[in-house]
Amino acid sequence: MLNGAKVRCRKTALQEIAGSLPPHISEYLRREYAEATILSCEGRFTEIFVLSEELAKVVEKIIAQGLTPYSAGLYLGRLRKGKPSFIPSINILQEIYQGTGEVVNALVVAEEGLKPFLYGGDVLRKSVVSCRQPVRKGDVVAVLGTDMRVYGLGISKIDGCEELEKRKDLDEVASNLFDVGWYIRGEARKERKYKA
Amino acid sequence: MGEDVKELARRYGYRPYMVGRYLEILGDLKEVEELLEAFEKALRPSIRCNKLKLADCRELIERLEKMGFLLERIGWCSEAYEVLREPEKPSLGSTHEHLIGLYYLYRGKASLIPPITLKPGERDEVLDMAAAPGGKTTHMAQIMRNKGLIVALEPDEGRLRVLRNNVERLGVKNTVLLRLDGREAGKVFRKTFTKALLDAPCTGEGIIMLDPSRKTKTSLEDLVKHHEIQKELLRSALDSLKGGGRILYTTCSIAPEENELVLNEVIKGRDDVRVLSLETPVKLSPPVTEYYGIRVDERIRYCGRTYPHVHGMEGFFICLMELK
Repeated sequence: MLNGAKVRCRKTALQEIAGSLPPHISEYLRREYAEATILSCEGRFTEIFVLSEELAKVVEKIIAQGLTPYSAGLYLGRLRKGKPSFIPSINILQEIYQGTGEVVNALVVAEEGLKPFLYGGDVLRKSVVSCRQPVRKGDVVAVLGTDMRVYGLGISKIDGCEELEKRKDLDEVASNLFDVGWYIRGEARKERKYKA
Repeated sequence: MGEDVKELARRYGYRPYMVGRYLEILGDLKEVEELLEAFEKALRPSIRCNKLKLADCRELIERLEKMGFLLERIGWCSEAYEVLREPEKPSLGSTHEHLIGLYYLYRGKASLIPPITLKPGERDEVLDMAAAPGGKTTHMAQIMRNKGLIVALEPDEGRLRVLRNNVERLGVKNTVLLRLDGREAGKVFRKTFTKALLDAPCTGEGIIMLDPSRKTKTSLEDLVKHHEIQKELLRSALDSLKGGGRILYTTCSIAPEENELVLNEVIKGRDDVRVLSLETPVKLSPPVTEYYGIRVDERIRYCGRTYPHVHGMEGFFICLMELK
């Protein structure tokens, strides 16, 4: 399986994982998904899902029979022991940006830069049209198009948006961590190398 | 088998037994030839605008038309469009809009009919028995406005990964994916669901225009094997339903062995299964009621079919049943 052969899923509480999440994500979850069930599936890595009441009931039934859901509800992302401690899903970021109207922790990339990024390329300085704080070196940063949709995730090579000014056109400012091209390319996900 | 059947099979490159069956189904050699001719013609692809990610489909249409696509709304499915013209680049599968899940791409439009016909509601608990690659799962999620519940099963790991990619890409969040053979569903989920969709694995005898290798690759033994699995799947689906629950059985095959005869053997002697009149968005052709001397159960007359030469789409079988 994607997450290894021996996966164990269990219900957990938001407060148990909140410390590993970036503040904008944990705040959003507290506000919008206060009643939801959080499902943690631990295998080669730890995947977190947000479940409605109906989903939680059926997942309980599945687990009680010794089976493991492959995925369920809203995929929130992947928890890790090392840095970065959390790799969010595209969907939760898009939902937060659309729901709050506030884009944070992101690089907005021009069309010319988006194309290579969607084939696994990294984000170069010259393609960044705007930068939204906080952006820290080594942390996950969302990669958006100018349509303000999330096209993937990168690992930031810059420490703060102000650092962009010091970079040359062809300098890499974020390395590709995941891009939506993976959905179609059907390859094993790149986050696999970021073991839990 | 008549010489005229053998001649048609030779001319179009089919196994003769297949063409012989088409004559038994349609009863007219001229219509069989129309069917075979329709299988030679490419289908226009279709797309379904994903309302889970888009408030207004016009945004998508404008973006695609700017790239050179020409789209025409499908009259019976307001969110779906037939693609009349494509630019040289990009392909429909590689646009940014596709990658971020603004639409789902179909090779033909018949796949849109089963979810619309099953009509899952926001409070339904739905089982999708053989869900990959996810076109129907994500369509049902869209109809349900991401509410209620779908349990989508797929036994094959590679196909399950594709299913998950599509579910995530399209922003579906009312669905649980489980690696399970649908034949186990009745035991694992006994009397659990209000609705079930069984798009049964089949020989693909209705999609020969998409895969011409199907003209020769299915032997009679393969057909029997599919028939047996389909019966097991249908029995399992019925076991997974609550009383009053509905199941939609569909295949992308025009073979009675995979459709009417499957239902016939499963519902024969069961008075707890009603076959419902279909309220499909397109008028279907009638099912096969007699086949090589076998008269199928009366109830099956309510099922329906699409044919490429009649409907201009893939050949599908559709039947809606209700458990009393």
